[in-house]
Amino acid sequence: MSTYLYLNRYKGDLIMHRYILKRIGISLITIWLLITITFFLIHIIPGEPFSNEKKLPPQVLDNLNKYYGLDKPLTIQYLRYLGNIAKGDLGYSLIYKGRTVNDIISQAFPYSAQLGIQSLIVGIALGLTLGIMAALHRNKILDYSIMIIAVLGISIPNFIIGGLLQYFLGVKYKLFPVAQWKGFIYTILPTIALGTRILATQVRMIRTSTLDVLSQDYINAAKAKGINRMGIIFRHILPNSILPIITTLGPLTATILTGTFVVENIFAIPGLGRYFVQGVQDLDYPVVMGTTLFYGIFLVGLNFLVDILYFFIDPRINANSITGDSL
Amino acid sequence: MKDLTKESFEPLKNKDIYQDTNSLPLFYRQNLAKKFKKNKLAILSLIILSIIIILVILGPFFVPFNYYEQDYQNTNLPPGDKGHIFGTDSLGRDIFSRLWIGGRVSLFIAIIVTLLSMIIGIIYGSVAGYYGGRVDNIMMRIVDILLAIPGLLINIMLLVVLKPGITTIIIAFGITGWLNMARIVRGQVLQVKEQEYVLAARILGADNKRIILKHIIPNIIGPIIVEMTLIIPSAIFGEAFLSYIGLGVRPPMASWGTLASEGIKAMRFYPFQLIIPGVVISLTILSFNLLGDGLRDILDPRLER
Amino acid sequence: MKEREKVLEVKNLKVSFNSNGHELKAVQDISFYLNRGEILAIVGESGSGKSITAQSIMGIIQDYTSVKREGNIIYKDLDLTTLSEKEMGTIRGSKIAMVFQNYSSSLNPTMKIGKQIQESLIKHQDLQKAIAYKKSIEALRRVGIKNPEEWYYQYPHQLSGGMGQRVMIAIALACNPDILICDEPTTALDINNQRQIINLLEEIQDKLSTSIIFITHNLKLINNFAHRLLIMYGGLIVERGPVKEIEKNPSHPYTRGLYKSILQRELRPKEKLYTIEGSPPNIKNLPKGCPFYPRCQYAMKICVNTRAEEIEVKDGHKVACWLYHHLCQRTEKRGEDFG
Repeated sequence: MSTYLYLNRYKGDLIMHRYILKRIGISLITIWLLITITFFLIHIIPGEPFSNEKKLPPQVLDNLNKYYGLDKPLTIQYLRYLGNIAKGDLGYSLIYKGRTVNDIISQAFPYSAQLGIQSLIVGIALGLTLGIMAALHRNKILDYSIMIIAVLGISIPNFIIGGLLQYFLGVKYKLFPVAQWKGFIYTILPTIALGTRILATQVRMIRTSTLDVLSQDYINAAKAKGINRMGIIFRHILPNSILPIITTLGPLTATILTGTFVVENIFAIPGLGRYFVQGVQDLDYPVVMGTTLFYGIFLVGLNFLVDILYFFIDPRINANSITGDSL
Repeated sequence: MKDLTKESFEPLKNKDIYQDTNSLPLFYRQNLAKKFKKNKLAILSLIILSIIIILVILGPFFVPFNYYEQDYQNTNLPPGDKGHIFGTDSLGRDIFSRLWIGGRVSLFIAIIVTLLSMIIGIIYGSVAGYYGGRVDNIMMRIVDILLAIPGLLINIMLLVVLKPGITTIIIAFGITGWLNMARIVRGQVLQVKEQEYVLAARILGADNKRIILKHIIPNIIGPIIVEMTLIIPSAIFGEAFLSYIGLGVRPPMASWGTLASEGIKAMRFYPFQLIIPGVVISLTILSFNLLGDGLRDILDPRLER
Repeated sequence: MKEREKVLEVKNLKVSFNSNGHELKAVQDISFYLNRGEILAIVGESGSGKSITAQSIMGIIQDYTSVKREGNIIYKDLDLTTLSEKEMGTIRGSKIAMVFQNYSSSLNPTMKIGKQIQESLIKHQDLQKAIAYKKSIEALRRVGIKNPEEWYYQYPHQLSGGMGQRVMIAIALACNPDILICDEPTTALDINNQRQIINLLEEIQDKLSTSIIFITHNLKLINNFAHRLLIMYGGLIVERGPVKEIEKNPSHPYTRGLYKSILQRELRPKEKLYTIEGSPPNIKNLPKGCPFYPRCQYAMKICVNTRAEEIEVKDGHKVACWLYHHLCQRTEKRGEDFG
């Protein structure tokens, strides 16, 4: 191995280790902050949060006391809370007797995950295709039509898309089941309702990044090599215009999560989003806080993975692009 | 080549015959207005927004009903029936006046949230960018950490704990809305502060506050405006979302979000109750988005080809 | 040169762009040819149309809003302007190849160097992967890259300037093209690397008898290297001929200016560096006559509205300037004031 390459690689390793350590540190701080915020929010609730309005059965109160140590001083409570979460214990629901928040999550999250992943796949696949098509036909009718769809997609809230889909395709023309989750056909309308926004944001992003790639010299250079259109699209445009999308996976997943809150409610899907919204309406604090923490940690972890992934995938990332970033 | 004479070969005295007419630049502002007028979609969305805003302000005065009075004799009337332009809801309230009253709430929230985010974001971002170094490092790390937590989750938590209402919604959005603005402003300030005219101002003895306000902010106004047009629709969107999951304004007050969520409940039998607010909300967000796209095309010179 | 066989002939090439209703004439009307095994240099400032000429030979002019290309480009017996995009694809990269100005933007950042060389081999010669691999290693070695087996798997951002340009040349030479068009291949490099690239090209031309069109704005680079020279200004060829001949007797006032500013002896203290006054032509608004007259110290009435025909000053050395018309009585044409 030549010295030049070796030194380069060694330098790269050092940078990578530092980068990963930094990212881990930031992720942990974020999670700690999130836990602390939820804890103190519960404690600024006026009155006794856990006896408010509803009369809680003694069994539930017992569980609460065990979990939070409500009779102890605040610092002890806080440390105890941290300890519980470190153990992965999110406490008990106030409404569903005897059920833990962990229980609810492990039962309901798979539905949300399926819905989310389905819409992510549909949204990204279609978004990619349409985005590249739009860029290749820049300022032609195809481009304009795709961009109109895209701007509509980001402008119509998903509860309106969901409601309209349900009414027209479910109630009126009876093409799809109106609600519930009992097989693949049931998943189609919710997937569309959730996927439209993803598709729309992806189309806009991909179009911009593809236009940027198209103006690069290496596209011209590939043409000068005699590479045909398909070769240029798949080997030279696609890999370069896809790269920026990877960084949006985090925010995209956040959009999907909040989307499931709405879509699961409209289509009566027994996913975590529905429990969460129910918890919000019933003031079931442990469920709301537990789910928030779960989603928060999930997203922070995902963002961490995406950052690391990007580091490995983009060959251009080097000393400059990383140290210049405000990490 | 026919009539070549000796005179043709005389030296040219005055070369000014040749004028480079095309290189005269248009004045910057004149140029912007001209470009904006060319963008038909942006003009159209501006017109739609004006109509919606006029209706939101004056609409409720056009009809002899108010937004809260219930009329159990006339529930779920279809549009146009008994003088109710958009019909009535399940409690017999006039949807037309509820729609515009709801619009007041939604737009009010959106505008205040946008202004708040803008003010906090500009101050925070320009301080971080202008002072740079350690200050910048710490300030931006805080922003990064806050951005890592999904904003809507924080909003929901806050609203669960505090009493839902217009003020709480504004506070909740205000806490998270400025983060992106701060990042954008900081990036711009970092660029602009290196320019010669900033240096010149400093040599002439301008203090930091004056340099930021008079020399830096006016030069980064473009990206700020573009970001503003993005915050407005996302605030309308967010308010509607929160109302939908039951954290919006309390009845009998209405907002576009509560109207849509009531509409979804009644949709099966009275679809117009969803379609009407749905169209108005979507049209408003659409117009803001198109306006934002148009402004970005004009203000972002990198997109110019 | 043993025999004079033309491999490429460009006849009356005109290229214009349409930008917001303005017609931008990038190349006004040029004709030239390229012999087998010859190195032809095209020299001009930015905006002279030299790069557009290269790109239109390749048929890869980036479309701004719309491009109009007129004239004929004849490769051997084939008129390239009549070919379809698909047919042109079989010529590009295999018969006529191009080296671009800036390797860092002209190499695909997400594709390994070796793959980028292999790509055209696979496309044009339908090779199996193993053979294509071998040939690309060979191509890297040919341009003087040591350890080609390692560099094969690297990405472009890891290359240094000189190496990047070598890789570009390796890509262009992969299929042994007849014609190599080098569009300012040394502009982004330091002097040391410039020399090395020039030497490399000379070596290649010597070994493979490739015909080379070498585009540059730097006259210094081409003496002792190129055989013939075209000077372009404002989308026109203002002077052409053997390099030695033009160097000895630069005839067009623009060419004189170029030589005067570049091949000047060392400056004495307080002496000013010579520059041609005025700014390069604006292709949005070219003069009707000679494009250079607004900057020309010998400008005559006729230059404003009438374009000069090419006049032969010596064997194969032609200049498009009214000073050399037989009716013109002025003495400046003999270059008496040229230092």
